[in-house]
Amino acid sequence: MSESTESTEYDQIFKILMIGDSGVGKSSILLRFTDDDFEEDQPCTIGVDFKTKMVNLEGKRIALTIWDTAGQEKFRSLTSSYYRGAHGIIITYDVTNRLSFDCLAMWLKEVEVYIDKEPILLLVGNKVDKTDRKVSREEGAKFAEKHKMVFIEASAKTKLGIQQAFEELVQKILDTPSLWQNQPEKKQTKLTEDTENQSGGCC
Amino acid sequence: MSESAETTITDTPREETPNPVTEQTQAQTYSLDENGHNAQLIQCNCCPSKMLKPGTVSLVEKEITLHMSRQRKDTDSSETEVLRHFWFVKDMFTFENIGFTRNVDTSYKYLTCADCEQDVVGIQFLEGPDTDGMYLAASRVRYVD
Repeated sequence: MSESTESTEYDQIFKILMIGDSGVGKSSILLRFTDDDFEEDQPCTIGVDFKTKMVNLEGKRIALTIWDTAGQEKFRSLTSSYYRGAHGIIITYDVTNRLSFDCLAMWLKEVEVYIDKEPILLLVGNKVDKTDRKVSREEGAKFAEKHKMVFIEASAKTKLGIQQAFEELVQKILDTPSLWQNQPEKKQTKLTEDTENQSGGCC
Repeated sequence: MSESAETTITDTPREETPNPVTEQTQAQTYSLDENGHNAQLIQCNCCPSKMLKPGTVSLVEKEITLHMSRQRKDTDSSETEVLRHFWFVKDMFTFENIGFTRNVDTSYKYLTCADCEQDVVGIQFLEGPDTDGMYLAASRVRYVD
């Protein structure tokens, strides 16, 4: 078949996870071109399972798979397969929700339990455009420094900042070869394995 | 199982299809290169997100029913549309950017834009005879030279 000429080559696959409490807006921080206000008009409310994105860095073509647990925090059974093989983890809290910040320690503990290699961590303090802030920028920065995380504050209006932080995350993964060298499955997708526990949740 | 409500491939009786095929007449506008692949860059209809580079996928004719791009809020029933032209994408990493929804009835996933999630742009079957790739609806994406 003519598909043989498809340019599906890539140098590396990085797996990125998005975690954090419900309602902190972790799904929206990766939406580059929409305002969160549009969400209720979305034609399909099934929810996104994962995304793939191609990134070119240092002359390398890197395939990212980005997994979001949105709304699935209760389904703890999928936890270990979700974390397995992660290269980068984005942990989001809501600066107007103190509890979501206090829960960061719990999320880090979970990361420690389930990860097989030490992934690069990105901490995102979200919703800074809201007026009722409960967590200061300093607190966020301090927490990130203590736990060796990249830190950024963001809102629906600061998509550019998120984009840069995201690229920094990928760059750091690239700069940490021990994370991705000797990947046994360079050209395999493992789609079925990763999604086997995630049925349900539809329109 | 294969007779799931939203997605029926081929043999869809016309009278059971509430929405007419609106896309068919546009078939000639999908320009192909000498290898029969997409001659243009394929982008999201709603935002500048790039989906497929030129020369990466083949156009196939296949009858697949997808949800309408826009659903009315005041009704529970889903509006659907029969589409006939799809870009067949064998490997998901052929996409520059794409989003996969959670499984629907364990039988398929929808494709959506990774950067705006505004539209159902295609489908990936998880069971049945068409699990060997993804189908991107040719009429629900934009073409850029």
